[in-house]
Amino acid sequence: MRALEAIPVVVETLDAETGVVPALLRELDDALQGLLDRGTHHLIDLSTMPMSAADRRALEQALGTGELTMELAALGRSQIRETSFPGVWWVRHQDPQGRTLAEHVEVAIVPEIAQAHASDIERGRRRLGTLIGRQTSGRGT
Amino acid sequence: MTQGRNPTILEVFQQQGLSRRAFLQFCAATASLLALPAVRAAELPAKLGAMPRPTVIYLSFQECTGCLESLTRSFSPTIENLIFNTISLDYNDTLQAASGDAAEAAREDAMRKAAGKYVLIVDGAIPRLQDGAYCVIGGKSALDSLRHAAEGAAAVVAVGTCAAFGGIPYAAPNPTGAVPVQDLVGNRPVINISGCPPIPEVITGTIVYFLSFGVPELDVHRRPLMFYGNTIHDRCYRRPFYDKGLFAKTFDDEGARNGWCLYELGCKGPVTYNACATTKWNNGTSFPIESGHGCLGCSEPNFWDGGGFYRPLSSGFWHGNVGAELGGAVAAGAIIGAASAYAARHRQKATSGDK
Amino acid sequence: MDLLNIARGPALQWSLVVFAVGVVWRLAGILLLARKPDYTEPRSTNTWGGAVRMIVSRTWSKREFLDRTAFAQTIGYVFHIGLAIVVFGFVPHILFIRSLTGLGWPGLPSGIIYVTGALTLAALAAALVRRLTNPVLRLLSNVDDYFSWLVTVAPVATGLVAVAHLGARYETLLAVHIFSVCLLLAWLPFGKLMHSFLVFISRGTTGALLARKGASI
Repeated sequence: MRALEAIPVVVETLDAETGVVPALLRELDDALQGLLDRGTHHLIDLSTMPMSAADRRALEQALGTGELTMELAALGRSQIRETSFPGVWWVRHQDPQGRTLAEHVEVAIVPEIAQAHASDIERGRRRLGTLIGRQTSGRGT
Repeated sequence: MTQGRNPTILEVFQQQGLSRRAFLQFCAATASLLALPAVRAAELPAKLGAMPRPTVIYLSFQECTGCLESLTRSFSPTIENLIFNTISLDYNDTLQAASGDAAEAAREDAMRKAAGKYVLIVDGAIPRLQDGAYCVIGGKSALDSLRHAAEGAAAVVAVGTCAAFGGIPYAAPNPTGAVPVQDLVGNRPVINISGCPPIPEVITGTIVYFLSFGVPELDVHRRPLMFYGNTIHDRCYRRPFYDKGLFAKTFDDEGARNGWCLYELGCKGPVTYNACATTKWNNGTSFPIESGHGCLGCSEPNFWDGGGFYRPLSSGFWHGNVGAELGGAVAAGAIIGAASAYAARHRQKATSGDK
Repeated sequence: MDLLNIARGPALQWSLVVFAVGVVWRLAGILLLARKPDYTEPRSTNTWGGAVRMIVSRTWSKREFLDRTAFAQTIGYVFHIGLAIVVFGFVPHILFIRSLTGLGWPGLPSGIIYVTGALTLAALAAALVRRLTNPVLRLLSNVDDYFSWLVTVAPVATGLVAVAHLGARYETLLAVHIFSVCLLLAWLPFGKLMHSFLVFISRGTTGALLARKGASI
């Protein structure tokens, strides 16, 4: 492994802003309007967007951090962070090894993945029912 | 619980103890992997989740099991092999728990029930000589099994270069008469996922795409363009060295240590289409060139017979002894030349008289 | 890749054979011709020296003729030198020659090769324009002239198209490029491109004869 690390891998990244951030901000503004008027969700996938490192920093800086941060531990780990603009959320999905799998900015009241879904609720209720059953029958009163 | 119909893929996920949130994480990761446009990415959870768990029949023929190993033997369960496990493991000779006649009967039953709708995944080539006697499973030749299974399939996915292009059984002299799947299946959509083995994410990504949106855009070799649209060369991080003319000459020289281009050491990157340079292997750890070895071209047809893994792409692809041939050519030329000179001299003497 | 394997395999191999047969045939056929015996007293016996001197001295026109020949000569040098740089300086080409002869040498950065190739193409185009617009040349030109131009331009053009990935899959463009080289190799001994060998023989012979006569070279 040491020999592998001894090979210098020089990655030349374009570290200047490409101008995509103002365009993204306008897209988010439109999406927020859509959310207020029609309740529609919007998603901007950052993983596949050609962004330089400088662009990413600029976007993070522009959006800032809001009041609410959520950690999701399901299949992998996900961080859901509200930006300083309510309704605009920064979502990052990581696999169990910590590698970022997907990253997007979502415009929603609450990101879909944070909400409890009917099918999950139903399954939970069945488990709750079993638990209640065990408690009432096992303990008597 | 609804009995009597196939559970949806979401239900299968949930039956494995995973929440819908986990399913959404999977969809987000897959949408990113497939580089789906925003509209499609938004549709993916709904479409895939509501899809009834497809019947997937996995047949293995003349293969080394490397493709299946690539997919299932990872250190920890990855999202890729999870979807594969979730939807594809029922009818797979290597992985299923059942065996023997009962297992064969169960598979036949499933194929009958899902006739016209099941996905057929094939790995390995199919030998044709001696009526297919070189690959017989459970008393049936691979040739017959494939023909029979393809009849009721909605689509056929050929996993690995052996299934897609014939691979190593097809390489010269091809003693068993091996042929790829697409040579035998004419009237069903065939998707080739070539590679020796293919990248696991490419296999599952293609299957997920197919289940959600149908057959993806394919290249001239029927491989999904979203993974096979670019050559390794066009996405290789060592490309700047190629452009500057800096090449490693041997495997341990200064150039190799500095990570220079491996063209002189036989890299077939310029003519190989695959996702290795971007998606990489083992969860994005590395790929052959990053580890210091040239690309073998393993996702291309006839890569085994391409002239040698360590001979540069531009070197001569000679058959036989080219030195002897050229020596013979020079001798032949000399003879013809001398003969024509002799004839000319004869004429020269005749026209110029005695002097 | 099968078209590519045909191009870099049997096609290239056969065209090299035809090239070898053709070159040796023509050289033998010319060198073995009878020469009239010269009974005059030689002014100098250093005929080989004369041959070499003439080969060198004729590389550029004499001052008296420069007005009329400078343009064509310059264009000619641009594409000849350009071809040499591209053929012998591009690493994949060097590796091909090494696979055939065992000889190799360091190459040039690819960017330089691409620019040189473009300049070579431009010079070849200029040469064709001159041939088509100059009335004397137009009158004298025949199929050999035009076809030889075509088989010389084709490898340069297809090579540039291949590295630029223009118009088709890379392996197809590469196959087309190699086929064009096969055509060049097969045609070379039989048309005016044979001057690549004969120019040294013809200039040398003239130089030898003039040296023998004591004329200036």
